[in-house]
Amino acid sequence: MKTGTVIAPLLLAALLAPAASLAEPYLAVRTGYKCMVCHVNPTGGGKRTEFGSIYSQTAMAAERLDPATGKALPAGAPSDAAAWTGKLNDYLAIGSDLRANLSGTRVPNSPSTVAFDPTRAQLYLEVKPIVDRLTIYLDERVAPGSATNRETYAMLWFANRAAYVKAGRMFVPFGLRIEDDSAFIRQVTGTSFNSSDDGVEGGFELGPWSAQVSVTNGAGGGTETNRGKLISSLFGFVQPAWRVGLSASTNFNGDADRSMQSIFAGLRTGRISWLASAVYITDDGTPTGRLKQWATLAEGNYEAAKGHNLKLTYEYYDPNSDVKEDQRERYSAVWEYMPFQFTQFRLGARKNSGIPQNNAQNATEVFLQWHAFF
Amino acid sequence: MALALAACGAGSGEGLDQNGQPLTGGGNAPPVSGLAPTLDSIQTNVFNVNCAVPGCHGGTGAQQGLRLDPGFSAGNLINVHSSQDPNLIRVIPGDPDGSFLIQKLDGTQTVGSRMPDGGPYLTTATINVIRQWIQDGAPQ
Repeated sequence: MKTGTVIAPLLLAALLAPAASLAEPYLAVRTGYKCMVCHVNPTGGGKRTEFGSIYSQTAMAAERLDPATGKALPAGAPSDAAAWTGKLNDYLAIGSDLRANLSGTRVPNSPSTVAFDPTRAQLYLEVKPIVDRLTIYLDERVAPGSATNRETYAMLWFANRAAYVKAGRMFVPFGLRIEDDSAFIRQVTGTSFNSSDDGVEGGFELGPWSAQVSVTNGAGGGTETNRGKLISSLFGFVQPAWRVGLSASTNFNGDADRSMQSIFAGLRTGRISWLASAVYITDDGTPTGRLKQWATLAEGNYEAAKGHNLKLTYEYYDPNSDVKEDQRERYSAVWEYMPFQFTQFRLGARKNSGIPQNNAQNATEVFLQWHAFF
Repeated sequence: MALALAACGAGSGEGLDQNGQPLTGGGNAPPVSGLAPTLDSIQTNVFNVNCAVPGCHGGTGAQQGLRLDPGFSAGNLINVHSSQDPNLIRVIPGDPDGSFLIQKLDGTQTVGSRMPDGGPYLTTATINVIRQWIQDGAPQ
């Protein structure tokens, strides 16, 4: 089968789908898709599928440029133009994300800083020795510093792609996998893109239902030193305009067990896609006994026009429910602009609010990010 | 829902130290005066209090795979390459200046943020005790 005969219907589907801005859970809410529609990893993040890549180029960008000439493609141009997806052949595909940041930070009682942050970049390799059945996947962070591995696993689909198992290094399935690793629900749960783990994962994708369960070392990718394991699960129910999900995980470490529960939901109302999540964490074996924490997130994404998204986020974090007056908040406003395919600019501000005696908890940040990807 | 959450508000910090721990009533402020250049003492007085915190370097999904809970620290630090830059070694016995751990604590690191992330940072005296432990060969 020629590539074009595959790409054309995918492009058509992408063009008919609602316009969007970039690969995050709100996009899934906006489109009504599951994560696996646009990402190789069924739980989201990392390399995009062929459909996801085409979708980003055709439905997310304000306009499409002809890769050969750099000129804007006219409306009605052939649907398979400007649609390089990283697919090298039926068995091999590549992808990448690069984020270059200029950020300014103001911390009370400290000099303000403006800095070009270390550039972050990932390279993805997807090998499919048996198409639609067996995938070998590699996600390597190549910057900053020397290369480090984020995900490496083999994944086997069966039951007509209704179920899979994978084994290797992976991001464990838990809660909303939003892009912002500094969000409270990501930071305090340790489920960020900086923290993968070694083990196995199984999942089902049955109609609107999704379920994933993983068993991993629970050592954050570090050396395992005990027999305890991290068991993490994620369940979702997806409808075209809304979705709900539950997550639970338990890490057995003998004297330092941790359990986490998360509930999350998404809703599309016109041009606004809403996300909400709450996470509850208990830790045993801390210096002060059992530690109980809460973190929440509420986010609205307004699609102002094709290629433009305004993201407003509110976050709340109670680091110890037994201690009064230690809570923290964070407000974020981010404008995301994708002028053409493979390119997104993000301009944002975050206001942190915490206890007044901790300056860092009251920092204000602004940033400008260039996100190049395919 | 956002409005309901927004009504929670940030804490006033009343009765708390910089780390958000109670000033009285058995908080886990480190007894710096008892800190000695041994792994056990550093574990108890520094790592347990400032580093092995859930979401940071404690428990599930420790950042950068660097878990600093009791029993994990030596195996994840001594002669272990940094996941942020494998050219760096977290603790090089006998070489505190070359150890990435010390660079991260005193703010001279070339990769990532100074630790503890966002501060308050360790005092020079406390860092010097950790330096001494490394200088002594980082005995376990």
